[in-house]
Amino acid sequence: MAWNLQSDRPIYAQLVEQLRRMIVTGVYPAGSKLPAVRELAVEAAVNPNTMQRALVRLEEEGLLYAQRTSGRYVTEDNEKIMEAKEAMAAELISGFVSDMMRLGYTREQTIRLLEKKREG
Amino acid sequence: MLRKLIKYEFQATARYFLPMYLLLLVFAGLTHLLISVSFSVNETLRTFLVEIPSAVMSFAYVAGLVGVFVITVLLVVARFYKNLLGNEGYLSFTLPVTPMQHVWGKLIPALVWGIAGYTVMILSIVILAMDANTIPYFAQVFGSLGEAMMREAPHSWILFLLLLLLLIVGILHAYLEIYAAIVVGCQVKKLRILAGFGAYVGFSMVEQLLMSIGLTALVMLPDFPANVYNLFRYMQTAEDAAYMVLEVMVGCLLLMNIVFAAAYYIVVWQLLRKRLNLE
Amino acid sequence: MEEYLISCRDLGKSFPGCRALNGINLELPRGRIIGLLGPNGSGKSTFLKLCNGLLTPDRGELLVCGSRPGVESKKHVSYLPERSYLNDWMTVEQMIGFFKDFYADFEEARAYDMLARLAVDPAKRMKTMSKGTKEKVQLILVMSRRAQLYLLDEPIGGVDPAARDFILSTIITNYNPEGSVVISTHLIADVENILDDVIFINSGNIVLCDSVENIRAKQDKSVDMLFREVFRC
Repeated sequence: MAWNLQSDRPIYAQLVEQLRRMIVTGVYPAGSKLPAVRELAVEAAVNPNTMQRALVRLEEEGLLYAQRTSGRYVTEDNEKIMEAKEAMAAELISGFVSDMMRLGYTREQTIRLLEKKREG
Repeated sequence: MLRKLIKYEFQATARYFLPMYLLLLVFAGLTHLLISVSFSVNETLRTFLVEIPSAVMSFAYVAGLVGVFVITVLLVVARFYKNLLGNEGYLSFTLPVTPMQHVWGKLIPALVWGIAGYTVMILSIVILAMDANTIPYFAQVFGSLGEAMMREAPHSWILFLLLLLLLIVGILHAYLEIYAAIVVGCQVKKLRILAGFGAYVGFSMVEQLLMSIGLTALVMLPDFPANVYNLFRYMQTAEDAAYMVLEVMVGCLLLMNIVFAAAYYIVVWQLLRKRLNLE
Repeated sequence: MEEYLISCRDLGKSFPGCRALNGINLELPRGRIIGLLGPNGSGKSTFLKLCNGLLTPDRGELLVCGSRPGVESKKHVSYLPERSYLNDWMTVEQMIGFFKDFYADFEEARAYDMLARLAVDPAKRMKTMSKGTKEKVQLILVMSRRAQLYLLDEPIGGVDPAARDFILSTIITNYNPEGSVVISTHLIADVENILDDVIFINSGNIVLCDSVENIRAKQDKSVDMLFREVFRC
């Protein structure tokens, strides 16, 4: 999995997004163990403290949990992961819809275009 | 830490000194060989086969003697300057070591090489002169000399010891003067080497001045050195008193060397401690 | 243990005809990777050299690992100068022995491991190496110590991109919460992702001192872009 960090936004926020995406898409499946902070930091070529903060944030969201001795794991709660997935989908859709509206399409026209795309 | 510094200093300098000393001894040996052969070869061949090569060889040997001296001084300068005040100084001065440990780390190996240099020079002369006849002869001469000294003048060993000490302190004095000149030279930003030369000349002049003042003062003393002699004459035999006068003189020389060496030591120490500024 | 690895007050240093540091005040905490950023001649190297006792300050106070630069601080500081400083007659192996002899915190195994990964032959003499290889060896020696403070002067200045990535990942891998790393550079885009904090320095003055995340959140731009704005010619 390649990390893709933009230079004009806080790295922390981008790490949270990309880690969440990795969990949702199953790069790190439910219940699996996450690499150590330092390894992840090296992989993403970012500051270890920043990576640490991003992981703590995902713990707070409930997508990760830390086991005192053995490290960090992805939650086994599939519902939680689905929730995150749906939240991401909702965000994508609303972004897409507002882009389409800016182009001058109504909501209905957008849906029709999508259906046409599916048929074609 | 000082021991480690000395170890690495020896490693760094042995590459130059050992081959150089070996070369001098080989030159001495070859010169000796050619000269001794020259007595046993027939007239006509002698010029080409022996006399020219032996002349060349003798010249090489003498050049070697001078070379050992010059190269020793150059290495003392180069090691101190490069390893402490040049690029390598960035490593040397980031080691957990005090500036004075660095100075002793350079000075002690330099002293050992200096003494080794003298020893090798003497050894080379022995090689040059030795053959089946001369060895026992030398042994005999030195043996009887020693005996005579012990018998006639029990004081002479003190004098001998003082002279040896003078040699060592003299070397230390000379090297510390060089170090002080280098460190003073590095206080300026440009033309550091030139400034170092200038400092060295300045130091030598100050030494000369102080020495001539001292000598003048000594000579101005009434009836010197007869007074000293007379002083000792009350206690000792005439020979012993004469030796003691000599000892006092060498002792003064020794003391002077120590004072100068100490002064340079303080200059190096304080400048490295308080005004180290690598480029 | 001291709270700050470096703390200085009104630290000033002049050279004939130029004022290199203009009375700076700074406190560097533990557990951070800090970028010391500024154009050439801004005083970055001077500051690092002062911290290592290679220069003596004209005024002000400077404490490194709790003491003035000296034997005690040098035990805990691992310094990479911007120049080649190794004894060129030695082989890499001998250099490793040298570091092991003088620094109690040097880890030989790590040095050999890194040499192998960068394909540097330990039996080679420093003299016979290219400039780039020499820089790699120096960096390996410096990073093989378990020091409290790493002061790296232009560590990515002259190396190829692969070596640069290696250097950065070594710095990250080496991270420990008690120690800090200071990286001086003018190549900001290359390092900014691995930094906690940045210090902008210009003509001997500190112009800005903040965390990378703060800068990005407040200014909506990268440190690199901010740097270009601050130091526009």
